[in-house]
Amino acid sequence: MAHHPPLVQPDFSVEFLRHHRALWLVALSVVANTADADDVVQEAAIIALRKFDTFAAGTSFRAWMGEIVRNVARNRRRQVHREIRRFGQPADAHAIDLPGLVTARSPIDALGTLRAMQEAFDDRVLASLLDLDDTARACVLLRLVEGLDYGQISQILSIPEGTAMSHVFRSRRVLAAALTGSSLT
Amino acid sequence: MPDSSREQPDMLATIDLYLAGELAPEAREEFERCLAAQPVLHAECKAQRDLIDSLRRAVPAATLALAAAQLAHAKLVAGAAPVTWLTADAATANGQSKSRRHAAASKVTAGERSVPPSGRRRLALVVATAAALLLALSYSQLFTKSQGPLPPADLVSASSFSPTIAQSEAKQLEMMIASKLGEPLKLPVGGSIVYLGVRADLPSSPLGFAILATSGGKQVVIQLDRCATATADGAAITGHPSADATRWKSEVQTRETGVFRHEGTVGTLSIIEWSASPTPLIAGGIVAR
Repeated sequence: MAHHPPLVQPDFSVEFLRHHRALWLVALSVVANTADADDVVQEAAIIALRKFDTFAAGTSFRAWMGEIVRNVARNRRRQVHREIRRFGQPADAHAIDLPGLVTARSPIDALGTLRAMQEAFDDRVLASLLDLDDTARACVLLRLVEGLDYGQISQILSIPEGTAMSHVFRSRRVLAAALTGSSLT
Repeated sequence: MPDSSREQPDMLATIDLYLAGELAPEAREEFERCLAAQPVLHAECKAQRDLIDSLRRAVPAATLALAAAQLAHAKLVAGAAPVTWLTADAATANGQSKSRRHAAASKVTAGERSVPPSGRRRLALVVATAAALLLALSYSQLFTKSQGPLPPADLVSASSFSPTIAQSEAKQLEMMIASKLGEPLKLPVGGSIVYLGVRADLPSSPLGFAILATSGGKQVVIQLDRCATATADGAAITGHPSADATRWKSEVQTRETGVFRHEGTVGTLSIIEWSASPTPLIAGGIVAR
């Protein structure tokens, strides 16, 4: 039987940085807010470091960390929902925030197209994205934004590859249909 | 118009592989011939590409600095050593007694390690704390002048740094940092590093990594992460080659100051940390939200 050397703390840093982006997208798909996603990954990293000695060497760090991130993200979402029930929706509440990427851009892009049209399109994409369930949203983000293959998505979300693939295809149809209905005809 | 994706169930799968760059070369050439010959397929492919572009525009791209910041903070909170590369002299300046260092070096027993801090160490901690407080006060004045009052919660306070790391040997710090960067540290003219610290009181905040330094008698923040130039208000960023430099640069350019906003600077002043990532990295700077 192959012997796997135990992972040590420095390996956590390497693995965490390597998978950070994907983990962050998983968090984002659940909490639907970039600031909350930051906090989720931060908290997950603390938990993971504290229990890193329980990580089985030779298994997938991505899967292990992905599960922690998903659990923390779901707890976070429950907490937010509880607060909303108790105190109401905050005035500055927003589903997916996109700091700096829209407001600071020139109104004309490099091709001379008015950005307002592009932003309206982007807004519709995001609105449609929010209509998907968490897992489908995570699959879409991991595949289309991060470019992971279905095996990697399957690992980080603990779902079969075929399920990940069908989530992506179905979501693409949903998104495309929503967009086609409004602007792509 | 018929729904082509339903008529051809494999089409979306092929488009998916094509856009992901996962088609074999022969299959790719074949698919591109089909694209040229079939307007419906071409339109579907373009729609999917637009969708991907839109999602990538919408989801922030530059998170490498945040990743390293989160990692360092997690290590700190989880009890792992946040800084592993302080030299012995730096450790002394940090208030660590010689006996403790020697004990650690010779792997002493747990009983020996539990010896309470010496008076010298306490004194050093008090001095370092006072230094941090002074820096915080002058820092707040600086930014109060240039940016208007900051909320009290955002000001650096002595208790917000843990462990308190004060380093008076600026040259030594510069050399340490340069050795991690792999290139000389580009300080502003007359600049020097006077402080290195980490905040521990923002458990839920994205942290920033920075060095408080002086430049022409003014205190500035040096961000050890991406390429940029000194700003008119005294802040400076030094260069670090990385695959993400371009993306970060484009984000930087979207900001008013050209580098970062001061509103978040004081609130996120933190430590730099070298990470043994595949691309050796000193993450740093201001990650404010």
